[in-house]
Amino acid sequence: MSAIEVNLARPADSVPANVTARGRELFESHLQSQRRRTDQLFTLLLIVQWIAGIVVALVISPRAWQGAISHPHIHLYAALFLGGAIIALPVGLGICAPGQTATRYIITIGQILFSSLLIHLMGGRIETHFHVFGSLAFLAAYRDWRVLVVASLLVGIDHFARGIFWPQSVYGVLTGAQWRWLEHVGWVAFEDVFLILLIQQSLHEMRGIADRQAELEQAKAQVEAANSAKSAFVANVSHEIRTPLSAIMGYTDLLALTEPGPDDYADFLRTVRRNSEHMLSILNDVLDMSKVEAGRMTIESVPCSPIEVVQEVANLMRPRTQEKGLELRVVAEPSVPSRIVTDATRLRQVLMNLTSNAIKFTDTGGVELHLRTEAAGGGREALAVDVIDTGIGLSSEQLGRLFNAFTQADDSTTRRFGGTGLGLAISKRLAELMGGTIKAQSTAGLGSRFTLWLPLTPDTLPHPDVSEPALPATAVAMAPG
Amino acid sequence: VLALCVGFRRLGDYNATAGAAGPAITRWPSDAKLHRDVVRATLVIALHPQCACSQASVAELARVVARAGRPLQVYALAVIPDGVNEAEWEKTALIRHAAEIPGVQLVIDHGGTEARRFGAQTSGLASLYAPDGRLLFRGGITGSRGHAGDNSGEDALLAALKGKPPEVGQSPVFGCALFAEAAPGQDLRIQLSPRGNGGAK
Repeated sequence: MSAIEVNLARPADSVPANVTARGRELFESHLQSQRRRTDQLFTLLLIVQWIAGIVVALVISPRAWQGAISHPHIHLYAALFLGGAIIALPVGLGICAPGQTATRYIITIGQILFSSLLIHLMGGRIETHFHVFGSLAFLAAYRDWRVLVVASLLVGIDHFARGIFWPQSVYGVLTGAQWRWLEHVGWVAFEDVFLILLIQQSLHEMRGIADRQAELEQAKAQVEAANSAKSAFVANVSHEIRTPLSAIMGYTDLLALTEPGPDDYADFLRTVRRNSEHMLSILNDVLDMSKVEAGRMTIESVPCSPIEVVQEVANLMRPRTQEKGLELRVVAEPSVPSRIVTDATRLRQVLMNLTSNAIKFTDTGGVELHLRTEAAGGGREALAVDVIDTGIGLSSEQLGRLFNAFTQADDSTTRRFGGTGLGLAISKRLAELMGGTIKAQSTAGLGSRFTLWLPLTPDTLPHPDVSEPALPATAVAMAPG
Repeated sequence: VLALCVGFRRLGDYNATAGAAGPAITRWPSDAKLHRDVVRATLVIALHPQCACSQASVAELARVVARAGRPLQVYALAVIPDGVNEAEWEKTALIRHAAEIPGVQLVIDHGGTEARRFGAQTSGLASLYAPDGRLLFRGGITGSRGHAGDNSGEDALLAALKGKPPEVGQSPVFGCALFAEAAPGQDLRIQLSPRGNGGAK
C-alpha cells in the first residue's frame, strides 16, 4: 500500500454518517470545481489553437498558385472559418456553462476535430498526430473516463471510415487497409488505459482528501463548540459560586453588624453553612472533572453491596423528594448479587447525581431506583441500576449532547434549574472507569430513564469465600416521598 | 454540425483533387536541355517555387533518393513564371529544401520551357526515365495535396527504380499549377490501376 493510501484510507464504518455525507458533498464539489476549471482551460486552449491554426496557415500555405497568379489558400479559409466553426460551440459553452456534462463532451469533440484540422493544415505531418495524444492527456484532467472514450471513438470512427472509403488519405495505400484502423486505435487505447487508471487513482485520492476535510471540519466545529461550552461553563460556575458566596457575605455581615437574637443567630449560621456546602459541591465537581480529563481519577476495587449503596442514596435524597412531594421508590430484583467488587464511593457519587437530577427535573409523580441484572453478551451479565423519573424529559437532540462536559440540555435549563452541567459528564466518565457505562432514554414531557451498567465479571463478583447470599426479597424498599 | 461536415468535406475534396496530369512524354525529349544519364536512371521533378503543397513532394523526394538503392540522377526543375521577381522565387524555402537533398541537381527553369518539354503542368510531377530514354514512371509522389507520408506514387517510383513493374505506373499529382493557363485538375484516383494490375504507361 502506498503512503498516500495509508494516509487517506480509513474504514468507512469508523466515520460518522454525517461526516461521510459531508465528505461525499465535498468530493462532488471539488470534482465539479475541477471540471469547471478544465472547461475554462480548454476554452482558452481552443481559442489559442484557433489563432495558432490561422498562423500556421499563414506561414505554411498562405496562397495557392497557378503560375504567377495566386489567391488565398483554402487552408487559410479552413483555419479561419472551419476552425472557427469547430470552436464556436465549445467555447460558447465553456464561457456560459462551465462544469456542465454537455460542455465537457462538446469540448472533447471540438478538441479532437481540431486535431484533425491541424493535421490537415500541417500537411499530414506525423508529428502533428501527437496533438491527438496530447489532447487525450489533457482531457484526462476532467477525471471522467467517458470523455476519453468519446474522443477515442471519434478517432476510431475517422480511421475506420477512411480505411474503408479513402485509405490513401491516412494510410498511403489504395487497398488492403480495412483493418489498419485497429492498429491506430490500438495505440490510442494504449494511452487510454493508463489515463483511465490515473483518473481512477486521482478520484480515489480526491475522495480521501474530501473525507479528511469533512473530518477536520467536524473536529473544528467540535473544538469551537467545546470552547464555547467552556466559556458558558465558566459563566455558569461563576454564577453558581457567586450566589452562595453572596449569601455567605450577606449573612456574615448581618452577624457582624447587627445583634441577632439566638434563633436568628443559629439560622444565619445554618444558612452560611448550607451555602458553603453548596460551593464546596460545585468546586468538587470541577475538581473531579479536571481529574477525569487529566486521567488522574483513580478507582478502587473493594467488595460492597449495591443494594446498600442504593438505599443510602435514597435515604440521602428522601428529604428533597419529601420537600417536592414526590414518591421515591427503590426496587431490587432477586437476581441482583448481594456484593460486587467496585468503588462504592464512586458508585454512590454516580447514583447521587442521577437521582439528584431526576428529582430536580420532576415536579409531579416520583422517582424510582431499580436494581436488576441483564445479559451483557458473551455469556456475561451486568448489574443495571435504572433511575426512572416522571419529570420534564428530554428531546432526542438534547439526549445527544447530554453527557458532554460543560453542556446541559440547553441554556434555558441552566437558567431555570441552575447547575454547572458537569454532573452527568463526570458520572459517565466514572461509570466507564468502573468498566461500565450510562445510557439515557427519555420522552419529552413524560420522563426519563438513566441506566447505569456495571459488568458482573469474575473480577467484579466477590470470591465465593467472601460472598454472601443475595437478598430474597424483590422489593427492598418502597417508601412514599 | 452541417457547417463542420461541409467544411471538412470541402477540405478533403481539395486535398484529394489532383492537378492537371499533362501529356505523358514516353521517351526522353530530344530537345531537352537536361542531360540524360546513360548509365543511371534519371528522375525529373517539376516544382513551383511558391507551392505550399509541394513541400510534401520535396519531403517525399528526399525519401525516394534515400531509399532508391541504386545510383540515380535527379533534376529538380524550379519553374519560374515570367513577370515575377526571379531573385526572390529562386530562393524560396521550397527551392532551398530541394537543393539541399543530396544528389539533387537544381535547375532554374525560366518560363517553364524545360518543364513543358516533359509534359509537366503541375508542381510535384516526377518523371523517371531509364538510361535508354524510356519513361518508367510518371506522376506525383504524395498521397494527397500537401500531405507527406506513405503513398502509392512513391511506392511505384521506388518499384520502377528497382526494376520491378510498378503497381501504379501513373499516379495523380497534387500541387499548384505550374502555368496560369493550365486546365483545372481532376481527381485521378479513379484512373489508377488497382494493385497488381498496373504497369508502366
